[in-house]
Amino acid sequence: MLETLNEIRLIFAEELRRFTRGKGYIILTLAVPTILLVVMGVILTVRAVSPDREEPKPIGIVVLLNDFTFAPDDLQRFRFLAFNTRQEGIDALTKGTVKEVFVIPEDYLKTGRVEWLHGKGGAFSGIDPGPSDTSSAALRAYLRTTLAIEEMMPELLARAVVGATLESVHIGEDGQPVEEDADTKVGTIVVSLVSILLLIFSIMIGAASLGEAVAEEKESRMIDVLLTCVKPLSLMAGKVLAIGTAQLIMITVWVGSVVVIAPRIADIISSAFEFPINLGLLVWALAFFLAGYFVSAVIMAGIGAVATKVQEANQLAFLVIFPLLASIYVLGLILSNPDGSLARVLSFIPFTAPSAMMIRLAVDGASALESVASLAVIVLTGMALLWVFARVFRAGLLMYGQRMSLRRVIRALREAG
Amino acid sequence: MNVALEIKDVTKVYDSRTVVDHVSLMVKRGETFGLLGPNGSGKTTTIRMALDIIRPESGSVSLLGGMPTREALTRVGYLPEERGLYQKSKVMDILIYLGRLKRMDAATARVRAKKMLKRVGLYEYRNKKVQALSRGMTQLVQFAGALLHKPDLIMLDEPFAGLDPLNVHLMKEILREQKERGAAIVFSTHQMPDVEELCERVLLINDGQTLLYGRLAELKRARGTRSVRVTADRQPESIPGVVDTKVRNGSFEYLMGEGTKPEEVLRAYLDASILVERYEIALPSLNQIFIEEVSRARNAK
Repeated sequence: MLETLNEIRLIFAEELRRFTRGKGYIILTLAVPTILLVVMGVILTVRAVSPDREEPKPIGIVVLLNDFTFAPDDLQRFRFLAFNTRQEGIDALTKGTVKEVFVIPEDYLKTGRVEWLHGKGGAFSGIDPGPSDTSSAALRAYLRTTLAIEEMMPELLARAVVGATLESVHIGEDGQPVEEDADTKVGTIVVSLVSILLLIFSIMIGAASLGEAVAEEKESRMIDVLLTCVKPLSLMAGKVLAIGTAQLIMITVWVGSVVVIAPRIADIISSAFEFPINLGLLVWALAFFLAGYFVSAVIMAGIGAVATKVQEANQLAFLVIFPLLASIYVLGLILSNPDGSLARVLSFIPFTAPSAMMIRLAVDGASALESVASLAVIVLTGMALLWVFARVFRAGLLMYGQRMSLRRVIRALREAG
Repeated sequence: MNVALEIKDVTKVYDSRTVVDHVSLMVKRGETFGLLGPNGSGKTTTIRMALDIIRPESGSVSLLGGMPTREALTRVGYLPEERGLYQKSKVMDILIYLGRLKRMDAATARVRAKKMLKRVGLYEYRNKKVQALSRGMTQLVQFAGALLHKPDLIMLDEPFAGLDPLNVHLMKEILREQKERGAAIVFSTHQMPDVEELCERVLLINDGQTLLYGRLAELKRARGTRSVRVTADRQPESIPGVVDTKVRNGSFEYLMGEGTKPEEVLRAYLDASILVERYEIALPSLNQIFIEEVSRARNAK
């Protein structure tokens, strides 16, 4: 067991080193952060050179707490526009005079709650919306300054330290509060669709690379040297893990750059939208990505082993890529009825499950139990395939110039069993 | 135990075709053994069975005195027929990886890799990618990789194919060093002069079946008395018992029929009063034996 783990570790380290040093991989990994940085740079440049660039909209503030007063420089310093009542703030927000409105209620000192009234945006990515960093910082600074100039009563001190808990209220064009759902869903779906496409793309690259790598080793007979040193299962597991890790690094860089850079872009063009990230969905997406990759990678390693040439492995890769692509086409159907039977069935087919579940989770169309069950189906299928392909792998690897027929596959399984 | 490799009666069948048919061989430590045969005769399959890459349908393999376990295989160096290292990796990285696969720690593997690269004359290419090397250089790097861990048994499948004479000479020199170190060497080849130069014993197979097996000198001697080479101005009009005559480089080479003694050729020259400058009983070249044996086996089918 220890020997097998050592073998897997060796193969894993070498494959990861080789794969992540490839030009293609480096370019692809850095593509997303580079694009985002370029976009940010372009926006900053355009704004810097634009002579008639718009002044940022002020932040509306309504203080219903008697103890708080405004010093004249507060309003200027924080870009605040003060209103006497909540309704006045809502009216200003509806007219677009202000970007957003913070309402500090009478019971603020007790509860710490501050109402955040906002228009479009915020819900772009769905859950957990919040004001921009600039607005939050302005509110925080205002509260601390105001609390600090009062006599230092214990509750004021506590409140000054904690700041405020924001309560989000989305104000519609008619000036009435609207349910978050409508906008939230659209934003969530957009982000989820992009995530799904990126993940499927990543799974395809990883699985195809794995198949190609195995076929290349087989074609060059490097595989013979490797098999005198390690067991076929260690070789396959090490490769699957290494390329999976490389893809995970790529996804992490992509997601990380989106998390770090996209909000900055949103902040620069703050009047347009907010860009909070839905971390819950990210965790699920990651889990389904890993599971989806596992199944695809095992199959592709098997394909690489039975292919006679690298070209053939690339051609056979459609066996993995086609179902993944097909799952994109049915996303519309899932979207129209996330609780429907089609959506449920696709959630339990290993190839379509990752994308089906991600879109269903994005629109709250799947329960946690269903998500876990779907994940379990994918992982168990992957493990079963690993068992089968580890046996076919050895037989397939050692056949040069001959295609692996179904009869040979069955024979390999029988002999190994 | 003095035996490095013992293959007993192994048979391998692909689909319904028997590619290795009840082949046996034994290689001692410190011995260089030649595995000969035409293309597709089963040499590579035999090597792969010896290394437990594929399993025989019947028969057994004993490697370094025991079963071909992973442990035993770490003491084997193997150079496959097709040369193909990872094209985009650096030479040094690949050698260290090959050393690590043979259970060497990274530091030792690095030291050994440097030493081997110096020995094969490729030290200055250590940081180059494999794709920047010529085919011959790649072959030498892979050869260095096979010897990195000082194996007790070295298995080489067509090691000299595609190499220029200088590199062939270098590789032979290194193989002699390995032999002196006590390693057993098995190699397959089509180049009979290489076998004659390096090997003590050989196995000749055709269509998976053994045609010849034993000490090279004995195999030659067993056939040698049927050939006589005479250097003279001319030859007698007839020599009794001779079935074939060839003229090569001013010498006459006679193949004698069964029961004919070599001295009968000399007597024919003396009877004809022809001055003989040189007379020798010629041992057949391995090439001749190879062609004769394989042709005979094919004609028999």
